[in-house]
Amino acid sequence: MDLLFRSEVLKAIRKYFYSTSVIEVVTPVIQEFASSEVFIESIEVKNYGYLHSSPEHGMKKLLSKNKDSIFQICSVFRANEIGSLHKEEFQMLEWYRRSFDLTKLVEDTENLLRFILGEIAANFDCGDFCFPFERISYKSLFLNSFSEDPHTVSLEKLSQISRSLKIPNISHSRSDYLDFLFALKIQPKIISPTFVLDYPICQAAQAEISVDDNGEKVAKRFELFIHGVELANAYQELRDSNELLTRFNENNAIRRLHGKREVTVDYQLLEALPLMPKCAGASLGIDRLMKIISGSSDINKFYDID
Amino acid sequence: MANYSTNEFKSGLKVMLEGDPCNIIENEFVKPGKGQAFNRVKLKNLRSGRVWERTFKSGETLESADVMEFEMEYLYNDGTYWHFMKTDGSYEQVASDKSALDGCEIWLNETDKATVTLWNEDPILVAPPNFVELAVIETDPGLKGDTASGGSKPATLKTGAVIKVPLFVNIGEVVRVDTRSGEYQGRVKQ
Repeated sequence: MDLLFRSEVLKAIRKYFYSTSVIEVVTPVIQEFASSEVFIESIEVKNYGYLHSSPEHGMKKLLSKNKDSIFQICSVFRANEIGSLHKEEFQMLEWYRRSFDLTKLVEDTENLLRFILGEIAANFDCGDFCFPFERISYKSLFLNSFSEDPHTVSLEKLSQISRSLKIPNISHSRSDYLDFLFALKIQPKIISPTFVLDYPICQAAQAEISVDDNGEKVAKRFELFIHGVELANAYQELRDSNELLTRFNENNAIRRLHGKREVTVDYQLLEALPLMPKCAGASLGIDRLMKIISGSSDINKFYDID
Repeated sequence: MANYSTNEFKSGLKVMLEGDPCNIIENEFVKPGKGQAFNRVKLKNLRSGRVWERTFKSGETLESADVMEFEMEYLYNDGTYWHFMKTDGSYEQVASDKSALDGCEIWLNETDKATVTLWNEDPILVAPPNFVELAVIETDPGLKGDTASGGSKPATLKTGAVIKVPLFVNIGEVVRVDTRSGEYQGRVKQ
């Protein structure tokens, strides 16, 4: 395998951020707290804590003490995620832009990808990417596929649609149904690069809640999909620690429903959050980016040492 | 019987689904960014030959199916059962009923090798070789000199199969047939 490929991609990423005054940082890989996400299992390091599943918390703590825009390239770890698009250890780019809102971060992400492709196109075969990328709301996509508004559709109706599509009855929550329907019926059809915007509030994660043009409450979150692959995930960052605590507690409640262990709330993040400047942040899977650019079938290929 | 969890799923694994033995032909781990993981699996039902697509929640299990494939020599048909013998030196024989043959009996020529799938030691699927050579036992008289293109006629082969052959083929000649399409491939020189 071509060692230069990853090297050139990383070089291009760094060049882009250095040229736009974003500072490269490093946060500890070993964390005291496990991921608060319901469906992300952190890998425990006995007597030390957990390997980070994303540098999000560490970087937000940095943001609360400094006024710079920052980025980080690091390996992150998630137990039991194994497949052609998943690896228990994979490389992530995460960055936060001060004073950006989600719209500006969409442009930034698009600029980043245009820049990377421009930098490496001379030496590597890159697939065709149509710029500008498409932008569409989660709601429009859901309406197109299921003729239902994802923000208001009843749990009953979601369950009914899932049953008719032979999606197994394994869900416990609204978010579970939406995830299954999206991942199975919508995502595979998103081929050309597309920013999906304004997520249902049950999938806000650490994004701010805002009101869209129709007066509906939406999460200021976007995901970027290319060739049916989820490449990047971004938030206009929540800075209300009470709200975050509520979400953490809700996650723990759902973990209990699924028979999973509760995780201890990262109180340091709760303390840092109100000090964090208004910002927007994104994470992007570097192995997936390499897969998409090269047209390779499996991200694991980039880790072959033979 | 052992159980396989979704994280052990891989192509070639034989599992039980809805009471039928199946062969996993494709397994994809799917996990939405913040969502629950699941496996999208394509399985071939080894009894019906149909391909099923199913979604399993990660961590779900399926019972393993005691399914083995053997190359066997076709021996004879006793009117009800078709008898096969293992070619691994054990001379072990099995008898298959019509349902496992699923219409392929018209391609079974004595001493030819077929692939027989056994489930709990009973044949559930018999696959003939892709190409067989069979003698023509009945067809209209051949037209001399007409060896070029154009025209075909039905011919009955020794196993009872009826295929289309070119006009120049005569009774007693041996023809090569693709069993997947039932198409005439050519005459075989004796």
